[in-house]
Amino acid sequence: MATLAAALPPPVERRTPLTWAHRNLFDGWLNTTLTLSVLGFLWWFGGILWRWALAAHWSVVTDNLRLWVVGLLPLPLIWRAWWAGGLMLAAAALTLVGARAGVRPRALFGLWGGTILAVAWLFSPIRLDQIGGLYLTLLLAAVSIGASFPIGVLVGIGRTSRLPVVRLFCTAYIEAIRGIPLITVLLWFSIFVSLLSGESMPRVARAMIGMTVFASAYVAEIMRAGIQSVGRGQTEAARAVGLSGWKTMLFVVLPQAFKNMIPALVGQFISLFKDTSLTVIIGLSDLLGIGRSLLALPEYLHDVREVYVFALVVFFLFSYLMSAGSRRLEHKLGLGER
Amino acid sequence: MEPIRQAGQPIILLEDVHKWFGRLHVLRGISLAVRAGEVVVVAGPSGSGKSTMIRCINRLEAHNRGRIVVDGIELSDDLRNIDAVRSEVGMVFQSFNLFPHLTALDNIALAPVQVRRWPRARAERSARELLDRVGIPEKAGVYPAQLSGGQQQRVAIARALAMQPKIMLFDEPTSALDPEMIQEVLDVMKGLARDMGMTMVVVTHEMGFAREVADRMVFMDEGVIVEEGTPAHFFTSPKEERTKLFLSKILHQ
Repeated sequence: MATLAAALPPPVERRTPLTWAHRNLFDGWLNTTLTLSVLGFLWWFGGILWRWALAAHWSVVTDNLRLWVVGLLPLPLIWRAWWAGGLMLAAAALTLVGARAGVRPRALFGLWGGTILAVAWLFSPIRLDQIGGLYLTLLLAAVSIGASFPIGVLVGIGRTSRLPVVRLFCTAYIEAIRGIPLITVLLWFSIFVSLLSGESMPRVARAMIGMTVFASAYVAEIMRAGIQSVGRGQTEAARAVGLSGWKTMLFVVLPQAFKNMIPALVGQFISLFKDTSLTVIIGLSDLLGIGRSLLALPEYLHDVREVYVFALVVFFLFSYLMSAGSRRLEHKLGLGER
Repeated sequence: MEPIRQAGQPIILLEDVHKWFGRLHVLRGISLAVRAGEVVVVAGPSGSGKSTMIRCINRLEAHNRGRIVVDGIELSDDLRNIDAVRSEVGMVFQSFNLFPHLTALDNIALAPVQVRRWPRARAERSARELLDRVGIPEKAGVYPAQLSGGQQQRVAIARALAMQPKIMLFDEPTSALDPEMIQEVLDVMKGLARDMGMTMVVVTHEMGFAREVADRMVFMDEGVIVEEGTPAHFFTSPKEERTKLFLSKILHQ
């Protein structure tokens, strides 16, 4: 009779940076050549960048920080912008700390509700077309993301509806919008909406509407994919215990669909955030618009590289924050499931 | 809606039920009557229409011709009738179909809270009692992915029982289970039949279970009921050739 085998600890692998480098970068002549040539290129290119960065005229950024951040917001109103930004930062910091300490989600919702109300009050005397720079970029992104999410969810549900008229309408909307570039949608809204509203509607609002209409169609498609990723057995089990169609959607399908949708949804929102820069085309002075205005001034005529490198860094920072946040959220929601 | 059932009338009645999937004629005139408290085991080769038949009883599939009456309510396109029937009929699936984003307890309590409008506390108390009945009271706070197949299926049975159904439908409840977990699920089902006197329609290949628990055996093939009778008759002296062939295959595994 065989004796029972005792459980052994897994073999310990000795891993030093040197063995790692040997295994991953220098195993064989091909990899060694590749590694060395890439390192050589990086050394050469990095050197050029470094020398340029040291000699660059960063004054176009440092002397105009206020313009970059809030645009041409009138000076007497500017304290409101600083307070609003400070509140948002404080709320974000509290959220991070709170999430780590395991505060209830309800408390965080309350915190953000209050913050948003306070920011709305701070901004109430400011007209939309007075805002510019990074604030305008963030505002455009926040409004179009915030509005396109619920609209997209509804249209996406409609796209999978059993009612033919609803399904046809939603499909037509999605297909029409997906066939048009965002620039065209923005131009169209900025020109044609004024036919309906007169000139009274600020260009910023028209851009917001255009971006929301555009993004909703994409959110709806993500939503449809999310709904369809939930197996038919889930719906059947929910209907079999007597849940109605809507309650099945709300309590069984959507919670699972949303989790599957997060990566695609965040990708969509990041590209929407970057696409705010297209509003330059209808004359808005968002972050990139401010950069272009500065370049038109005689003293900054030759600072093209500085301006675009700075815009690049700011866009990258915010996009990266969004993507890091979504990874945390995914990780959190992944607990206790497949 | 008040059931119009009189004593002795069947709680489930199928009359000449037909069902097509596209051009495929899956049910070809099924007539079956199940009395309250009866345990009916449905057997037959795959593709014989047995799953489709019990899925028609709570209208996960709509039949195309014939009549289905459950607890005095006729199944039609009237949505109120369908909801009324579904809250009287529990169903257990081959692939469990537990809600992966909810704990075992919440899986069970969801429908009583949302459909029966019970207060949360009452629904949770009843859910714990049901987990106790299916033998896993300690798994209340656990998500389905952390449960074994047998435990998942027992939670699924508890979830179906939570709506206090008069009828339980089982669609091959042990076919997706590893062999060592089949018995724990069958034991729970036996308990339902014996202790609660539950009306049950069970599609299964577990002939040991059928012999022990069934009041009646129904053998289906190619969309029709070929033969029905008591287990004693069915296993010892089947009349039809197709039944004999099926039994010889399934009993000599």
